[in-house]
Amino acid sequence: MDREENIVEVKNVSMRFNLSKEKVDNLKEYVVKFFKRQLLFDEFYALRNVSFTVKRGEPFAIVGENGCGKSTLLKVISGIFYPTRGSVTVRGSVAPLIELGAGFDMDLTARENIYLNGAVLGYSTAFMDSKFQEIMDFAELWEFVDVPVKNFSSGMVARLGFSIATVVVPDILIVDEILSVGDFMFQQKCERKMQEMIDRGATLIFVSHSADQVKKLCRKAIWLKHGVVQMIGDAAQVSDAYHRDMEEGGRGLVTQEQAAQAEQEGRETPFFTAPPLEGSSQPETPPSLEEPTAPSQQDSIPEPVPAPADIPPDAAAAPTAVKRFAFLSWLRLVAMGMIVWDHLGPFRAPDWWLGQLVENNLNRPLQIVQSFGGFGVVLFFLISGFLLAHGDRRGGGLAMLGHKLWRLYPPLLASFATFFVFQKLVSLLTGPTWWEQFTPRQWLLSGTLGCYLVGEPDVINGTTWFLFPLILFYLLAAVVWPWLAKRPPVALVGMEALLTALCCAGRIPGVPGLVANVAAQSWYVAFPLCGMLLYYLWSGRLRAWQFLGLGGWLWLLLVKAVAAYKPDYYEQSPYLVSFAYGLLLFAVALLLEEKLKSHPAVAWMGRLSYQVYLVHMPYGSLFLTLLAPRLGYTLAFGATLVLVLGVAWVHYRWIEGPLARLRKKNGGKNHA
Amino acid sequence: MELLRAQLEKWRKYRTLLGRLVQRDLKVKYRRSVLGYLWSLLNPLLMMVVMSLVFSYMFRYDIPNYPIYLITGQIMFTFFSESTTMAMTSVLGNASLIKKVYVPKYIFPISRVLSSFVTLLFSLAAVVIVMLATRTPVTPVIILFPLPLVYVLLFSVGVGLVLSVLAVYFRDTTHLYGVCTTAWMYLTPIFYPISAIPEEIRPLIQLNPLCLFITAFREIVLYGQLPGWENTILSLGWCLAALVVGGLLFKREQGNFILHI
Repeated sequence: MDREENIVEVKNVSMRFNLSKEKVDNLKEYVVKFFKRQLLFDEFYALRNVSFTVKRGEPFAIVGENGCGKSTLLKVISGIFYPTRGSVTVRGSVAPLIELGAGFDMDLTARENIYLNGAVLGYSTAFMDSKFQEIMDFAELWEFVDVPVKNFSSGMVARLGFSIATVVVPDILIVDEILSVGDFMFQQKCERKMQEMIDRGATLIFVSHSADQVKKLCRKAIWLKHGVVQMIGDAAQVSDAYHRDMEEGGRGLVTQEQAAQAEQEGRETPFFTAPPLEGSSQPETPPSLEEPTAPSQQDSIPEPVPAPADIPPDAAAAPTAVKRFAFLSWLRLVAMGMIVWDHLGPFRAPDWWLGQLVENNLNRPLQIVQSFGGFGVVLFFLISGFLLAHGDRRGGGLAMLGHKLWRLYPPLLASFATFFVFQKLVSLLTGPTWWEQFTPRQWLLSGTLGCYLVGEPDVINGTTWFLFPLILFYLLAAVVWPWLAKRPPVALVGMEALLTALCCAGRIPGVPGLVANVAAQSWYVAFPLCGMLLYYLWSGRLRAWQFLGLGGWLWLLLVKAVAAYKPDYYEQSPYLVSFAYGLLLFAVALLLEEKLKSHPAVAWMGRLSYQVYLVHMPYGSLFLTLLAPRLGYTLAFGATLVLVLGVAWVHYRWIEGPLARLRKKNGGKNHA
Repeated sequence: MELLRAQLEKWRKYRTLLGRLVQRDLKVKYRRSVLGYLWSLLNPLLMMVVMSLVFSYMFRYDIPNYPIYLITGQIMFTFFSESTTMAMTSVLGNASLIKKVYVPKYIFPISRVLSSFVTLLFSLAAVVIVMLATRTPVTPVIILFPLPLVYVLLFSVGVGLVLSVLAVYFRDTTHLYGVCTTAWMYLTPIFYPISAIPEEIRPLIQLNPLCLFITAFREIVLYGQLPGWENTILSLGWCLAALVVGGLLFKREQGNFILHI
């Protein structure tokens, strides 16, 4: 109710201008000044941390001497300036009578200008047609209707501008001392018109030096001085205080650290040379500072609460801030390292001495397959499942799915697009690359994950198979999402049942190719599901026997599915050993969560891990084929790691980052 | 979602303004010229005549149906360079308005591009005339002709947004860009065949977005073929990239314009 009433909310608004004495607007000067370190502009704050609210139907005045920031404030409210800091919320339409006739084209006639200016204010042609008569009547300019505006007197221009701007009754009427235009009769007419609009429900925001006008028209007022709020409250009191201060030479109040040390010492604020008159001026302030300027008065606008039905009763207790797990960034780093090691190390060069060393001393005795590749992937899966379970109380299932897809999919497309261009460029320099052989269809299918639907492997990147079961996992989770928050065991049974059904469906003879292809990839979903189980066990929302039951089911499903879909993982290279190691490592790290501290570098690498995952295979292979013959494998491997990190960073900085910000801006508030 | 709706609302509200600005640009462009809009048609025709004479007699390229080959490339490139050049100064040129009233600022570059696009549509009549004069066979594929036009429109909007931002911060952009368009013109097969480019750099030229658009346009209009998949994907990719980069850059910087104009 209270928030409904506030038609304008100005919160902690600061407005900074760069008063570069000579404007640097060409490149040479910019470069020269940059190297001379002269690019420090003279900063000038026209407004400092201004906060106030205007209630609907309560005429509001802004007073202050020249150059105190009144007009800037009006322009911030009407959306012409964008505040440097802080925010302005305006609920309703605004008619700014700030500079009349601002949108006029002097070469066009009055008639054409009415339509043009109407369009500038956002009115349609049809609407202006219907109001044309009224505007010309009010402006009393019928005999000049087809005369170019450049032949008008300034008073006539103002009359026309006023008539157009007041053609509808706005919610907010912003008036900046314009009543001094035109002749006396027209001034009277304007005042009557404004009064009529106020009577019909417009809220007036008014700037004036005239104490009489302020007292007559307004109920509340704000007094600004050097961009700092001096006083907010009853119009008469504020106006009186302002005039008393003016008569005394204007040396009272101010602060905000005395307007930031008089704009870093010594410009245009001479009265600071005198010691601040704390003693004499403070008691002068009437005690009626009804609305404190401090932002604490209003708590920040609460984020739109997700649909109440989705929130379990105990959700109020759930922490609003997302807990960041330090161990996860360490695990991400480890997983990333393992995968990159596998793909760019032993996988590409089986005879490499370093690869041999690790292979013979770690992987073979421990039965770790794929030189850690599977191990790393399992870790990624577990992390994804764990995090999804952790966020299960935020938003709806569809929103979650949308959020995840937005995070995963566009960067995937982008990584293929950039690689396509990159390898084209490389092929110019070195002759055709290995990737030249692929058809546009293969590029399209691989880049969009469509290849897994038609049952072909991704031949271009080769690592994207991971995303397919992951998205499938999110899809399954979205189905049972409401229950996941309320009763995890039930939801988990549902997910495992769905997964089992899918895995089995793939083996039915004669099943459509699409189902068989999806099923062939689906068994990996068991890995993130295990991450979920671990989370619920850890957070105490799953009992031990439930965990054992659900876990046992998953294990059996995994064993059977691996044997069915990937027989060689079952017979020759025991893939599930890596899974067991992954689970073990994850559990140990989780238990050590209290002890682990995240290092900024580790957190940074963790954030980058998705991009590294996407780009390391194609870019890395390309770099290796270029570098290895020249540098030897060991050096080439090191250089490739650095280059891959660079490429991943570029993708993160220019693609993933902007996309995430875009989502946050466009109402993606349900997920932090 | 809420924000998206507000955005759409804004679009609807300022649609009229967009229309008016486009009209004004067109009016201003041909003000006081006797032939008026006819110039949009005559200009490419006359240019085509001059250039076909020059290139048929002085530098000989063996391109069948050279007049059409030339005019298709030329109107596309003229549109691109004209629209982006105009969009570049749009924010600066409307400084007085921006300083005084609230108007969504992307309206200005977009209106400039759209008014050039109207000129391009007039120029299509010139293509038709040349096609009739040279008796080019017309195939059903020709109904696809708007496709490359849409490519070049979207791409120009994106580039125009980027340029209008750059021009606000560095006025040099306006001078530099003239050089860039000239270089770009020579790197685009407008009056020479693509086979005239040395083998080594040909793939590079083929990544040039304007080359892609013009190739697609020629495939459709001149050769009656469907443009290939690779062309379509790359073209769309360029359009999307230009729009995203331009849109994001413009969105990020538009709040600061007022401090620099």
